[in-house]
Amino acid sequence: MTLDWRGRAAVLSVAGEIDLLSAPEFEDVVGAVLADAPETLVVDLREVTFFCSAGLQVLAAAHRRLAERALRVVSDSPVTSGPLKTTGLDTWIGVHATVDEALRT
Amino acid sequence: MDDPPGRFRRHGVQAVPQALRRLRHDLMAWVRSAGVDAVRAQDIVLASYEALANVADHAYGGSGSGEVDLDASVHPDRVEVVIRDHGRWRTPVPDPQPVSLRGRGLLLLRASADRADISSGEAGTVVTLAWDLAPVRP
Repeated sequence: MTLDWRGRAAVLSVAGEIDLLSAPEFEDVVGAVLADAPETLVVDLREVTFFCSAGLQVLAAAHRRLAERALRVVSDSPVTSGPLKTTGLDTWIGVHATVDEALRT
Repeated sequence: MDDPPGRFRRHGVQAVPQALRRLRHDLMAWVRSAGVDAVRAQDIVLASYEALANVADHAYGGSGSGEVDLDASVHPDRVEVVIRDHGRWRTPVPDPQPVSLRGRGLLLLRASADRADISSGEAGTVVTLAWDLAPVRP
């Protein structure tokens, strides 16, 4: 995972699989980023190859700790956008095709 | 481990993250080698994994891992996956806030399978998942 700050916006890029094994680490890293109080958190999931409810749980918890619309996801594959849409989380967490688009909102 | 053609069976798998990841990888490899397309394979593996994750989370009350059995079979017109555990699924405590912290696993499971049946009893829970395959032209 790599973190990039653009002003008060944090961009967290995640790669690999997010499942029961890796979700705790994902949660820890997101928690550490949130501790720095970003105004916006963009989670770039384009290099994620497997995504499930464990990952959604981390995003849902992050959403609740941020202002409305502050959490955005970057996705270019149904692997990551599918679960967000299926569960209706995309109503709360914007899904964008690029980081720039996610930051522009 | 050699599976007979069309069948995949892993019994007595520990319902812990490391073993379930390995099982998920093995299932994906088998599904793909059985000729199922990549998109359908992702649905099969996701739904199956959500069932396995539920076993890890709920079936054994958090007091150490239980075991889970997975049987998968591919037929000309469908793929079936059966996940069996021997515990009792705890009733999840509902979280009434708009963005709840729990409960998405079963939603994903049902949305990713053409048919899903969850039957719980005293001896454990059986999740039966099925996907229709396009009939092959003779």
